Amino acid sequence: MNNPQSDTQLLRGRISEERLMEIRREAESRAQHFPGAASTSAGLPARADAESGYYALPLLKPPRWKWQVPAYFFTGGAAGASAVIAAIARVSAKDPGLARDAQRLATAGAFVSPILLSSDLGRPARFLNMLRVFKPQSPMSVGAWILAGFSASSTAVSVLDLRSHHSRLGSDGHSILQPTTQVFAALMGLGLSTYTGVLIGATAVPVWYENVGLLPYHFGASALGSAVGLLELAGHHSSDALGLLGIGAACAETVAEARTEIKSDRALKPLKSGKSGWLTRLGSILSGPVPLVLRLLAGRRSSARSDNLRRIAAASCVAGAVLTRAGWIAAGSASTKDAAVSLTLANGRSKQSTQIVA
Amino acid sequence: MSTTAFLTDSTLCIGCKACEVACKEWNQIPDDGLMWSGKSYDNTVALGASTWRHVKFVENTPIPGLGGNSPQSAAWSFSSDVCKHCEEAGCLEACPTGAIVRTEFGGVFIQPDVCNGCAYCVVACPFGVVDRNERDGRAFKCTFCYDRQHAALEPACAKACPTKSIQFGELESLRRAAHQRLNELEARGVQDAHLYDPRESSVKGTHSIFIVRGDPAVYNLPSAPDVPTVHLRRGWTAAAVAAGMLLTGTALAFLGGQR
Amino acid sequence: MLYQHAAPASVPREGRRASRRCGFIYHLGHRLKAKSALDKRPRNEGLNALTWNYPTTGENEEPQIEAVLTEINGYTTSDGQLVENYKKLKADGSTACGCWIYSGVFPREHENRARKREPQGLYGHGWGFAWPSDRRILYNRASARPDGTPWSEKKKLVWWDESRGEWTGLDTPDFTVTKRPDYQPPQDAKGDEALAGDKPFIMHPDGFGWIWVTSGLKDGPLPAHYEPLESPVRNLLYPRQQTDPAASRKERPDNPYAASPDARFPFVLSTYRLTEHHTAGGMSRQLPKLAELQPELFCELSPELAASRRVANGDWVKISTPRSAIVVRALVTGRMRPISLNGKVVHQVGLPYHWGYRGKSKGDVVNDLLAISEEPNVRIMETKALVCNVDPCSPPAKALHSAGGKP
Repeated sequence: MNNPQSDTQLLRGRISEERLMEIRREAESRAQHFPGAASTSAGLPARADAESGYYALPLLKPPRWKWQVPAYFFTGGAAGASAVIAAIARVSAKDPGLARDAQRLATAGAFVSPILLSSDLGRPARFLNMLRVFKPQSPMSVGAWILAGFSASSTAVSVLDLRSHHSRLGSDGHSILQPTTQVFAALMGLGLSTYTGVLIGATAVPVWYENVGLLPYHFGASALGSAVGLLELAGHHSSDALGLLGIGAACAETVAEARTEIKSDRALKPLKSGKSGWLTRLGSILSGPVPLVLRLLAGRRSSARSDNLRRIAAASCVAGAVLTRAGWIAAGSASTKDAAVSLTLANGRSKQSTQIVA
Repeated sequence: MSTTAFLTDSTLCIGCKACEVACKEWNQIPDDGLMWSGKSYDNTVALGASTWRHVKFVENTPIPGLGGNSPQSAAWSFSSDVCKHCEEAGCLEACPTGAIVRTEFGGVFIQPDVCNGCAYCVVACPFGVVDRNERDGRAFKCTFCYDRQHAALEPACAKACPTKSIQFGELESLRRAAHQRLNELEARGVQDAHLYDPRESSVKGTHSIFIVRGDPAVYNLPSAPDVPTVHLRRGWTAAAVAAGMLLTGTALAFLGGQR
Repeated sequence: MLYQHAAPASVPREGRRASRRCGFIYHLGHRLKAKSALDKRPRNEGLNALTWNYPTTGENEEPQIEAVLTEINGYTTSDGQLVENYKKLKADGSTACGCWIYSGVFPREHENRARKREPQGLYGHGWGFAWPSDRRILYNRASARPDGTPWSEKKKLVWWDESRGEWTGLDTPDFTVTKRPDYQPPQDAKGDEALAGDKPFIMHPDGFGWIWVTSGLKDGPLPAHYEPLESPVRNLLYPRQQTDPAASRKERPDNPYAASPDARFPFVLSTYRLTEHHTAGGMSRQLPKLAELQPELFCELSPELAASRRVANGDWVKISTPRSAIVVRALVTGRMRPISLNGKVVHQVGLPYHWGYRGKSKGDVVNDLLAISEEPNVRIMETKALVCNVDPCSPPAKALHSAGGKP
């Protein structure tokens, strides 16, 4: 009680002599003098002004989604890309085992994804309300229908596969139905793996909408990389096709990350600093340069070493995809909390904006 | 059927918070918890799922000899914030269940029996108004007292306001009234009063318009708010191209003569 | 002003609220009368003699307000005829009146002036009923010269009309209507007749407004400047009389005062109210929708004072007076300004005092800082002018306070 400064230190835990000096200097620069006062500095009141806005409080609300949503982005993306692989692999008929496993992965994702998504709803029992309407202007509505279509058709494909397998009829009995359903599932899968970029891009969150053109590529490449990685880890580490796809995905991810690092917009700060910055950067590195190098080193010839390299690359892709999704959601949260960014952008990037009507 | 609106005239507001309490009482909204903010007398801090009217307190350095609301400077200003009920509303466009609709009075309304709490509207609002109530699960915001308007009554906040700072009526007539008030203020020597009504932006104007003194940014009123649907074209184009690349790439990888 | 609201829609039995206070009292009265009728002890004489019949209306049997209002207006006891105004009241039991100042609100059947909404003129006659006798400005005789003509044409209110022999004007004259301006009272006159025609202050025994108070004020007869019982400065006007000599300080070991000035307590402390809470706060702190608007006790400091005491906005500070000390949040604001008194800088600290130890929002009790003192005439303690000291301190350990937020 006798030493106000130590009490304050105790209280704040972080205030220091330098900070006090900073406050005084700031106050002095604002020239708040009072004749005869013991000190010429001023303890600062909270500020509401044109520079910091209303007490530097954030303009926007942060996303309320919990871990289930980025998890869904991952499972949905991997499942969707996997469905595309399954369909094309089946058409090429060179690796039926891969086609089968890709289909299984797609169907597994088709089960898990709606569960994840519904469990994050505030009222999970009302999940079917997503299908009350179809609103093309709402990416979430479009996505809900894509997911519904994908889940239904992937499940149907698996059921049909199972039936044809058990009945030993071959594919004659379902000659039109199975391919049609599989093609439909693949098309839905294309949507599922890329629409999530539009979902978060078409919002009011600065770091997201500033990247609305990048996110569908980023998430799509991530989806492809994670599908490839999961299939490789499931045993298909020698597949050339998967290897090429893996390299392609890793290239796309590397380019995407390079573009983000080069741009120096204040709005991109959550991607480069703080917890979200760590997550997105690590996710990008594990999805991009790392698997790229590893896959190139692995080469085309199959050997124990190249298999190992590819497996490590696969694990890296999968981990990277998970971290990327988590990171971008965290970035959105950080972005909405940055009062300066949202106010500046919302004022048309210019203090001289004259949108207000006098 | 008419387009009803709010004109909130901050030059008349006395910061009594009757609007906040009346809104909560009428709509049976719970309190937000007791948190002292240290930001002048504003302990409400923001609009949200359980705050649909929020009085902002802005302090300027008082000039000795001048009254509180003098033409030269307003020492302590208050402004009651509310959902903007945008002409082109981000929350409405984003809602996947169709819970958010435009009422016959022109307001934006969340149907509580449809909303399933997906919280997409929360990130779609350029003004940071709507939010999900974590205990209840659904999203909530100002209803424009839809039930009261049905009974030809004015919203609870407008009714409670003792200075008629919150005026309720037909949108165009309120716009005219606002311009009249600005002229009146200018005649009295108040040069810095503005009407906040972002008609030039992509939200195409709001059904809650405000008269404030000074820069509206001081009240966190953005001059160029955007409805997030402006980003859709770029987004879907990118998605289409990305999907095309994914398909092509996969096809090449499998069908390009490899094992 | 008496102003009668239109009755709201009929309230279901369970929903009786404060707006139905009248009905509550009426039924309570009947229940008490029923009990006292069975018990004839002298203590129940009042209740047993009480006339408590009002016609009722509606399924909840609410008493008709007009019946109560006519009683308040007054009537002749023989026939129940309403009296026109308080002048018709007699001291011999032939009239009865609930409250003389309201007499005239219901001067005849069907004329309920409390419900009228037809304002005319500048003073609102015809809109409600102002007591007494719908005079809108008291002592309005003072708006006319001793000779009965208005002091100012622009601001005239009432004046003497010689042709009609009575006072008239834009307001009901607050004066005996027929008393001439040049009336001089005879030596042994009593009551109203003892007041001359040029004495507007009819409630004073001599009809004058008072600066020199002949009797009644304990610290009269003339107003004088005294410093508060604790002050940072000496009394410049009366160096030998710092404070009101008739004030009671009740000085005891547990009710000490600071010296004036006192180096231990260099700042001025004043108390005031917030819009969001009600008086002592006992009711408003219990209501979450009010308590959340101002959830904690805080003091207001100028930026200069805050800087000199090393207090940042939102810090906890200890405010101490010779009696006690409390711990509160600091709100640093430019609305508080230091004063220059005779070349000396004097800082002020402001404290709203709505808090106590119970409720959804709890806080220290500001009254603990005050001294027990008594103003000589109305015997209220000095709450608005004290001296204090301010020190930063750690937050209170016990959860006496509601959940603290970070500024």
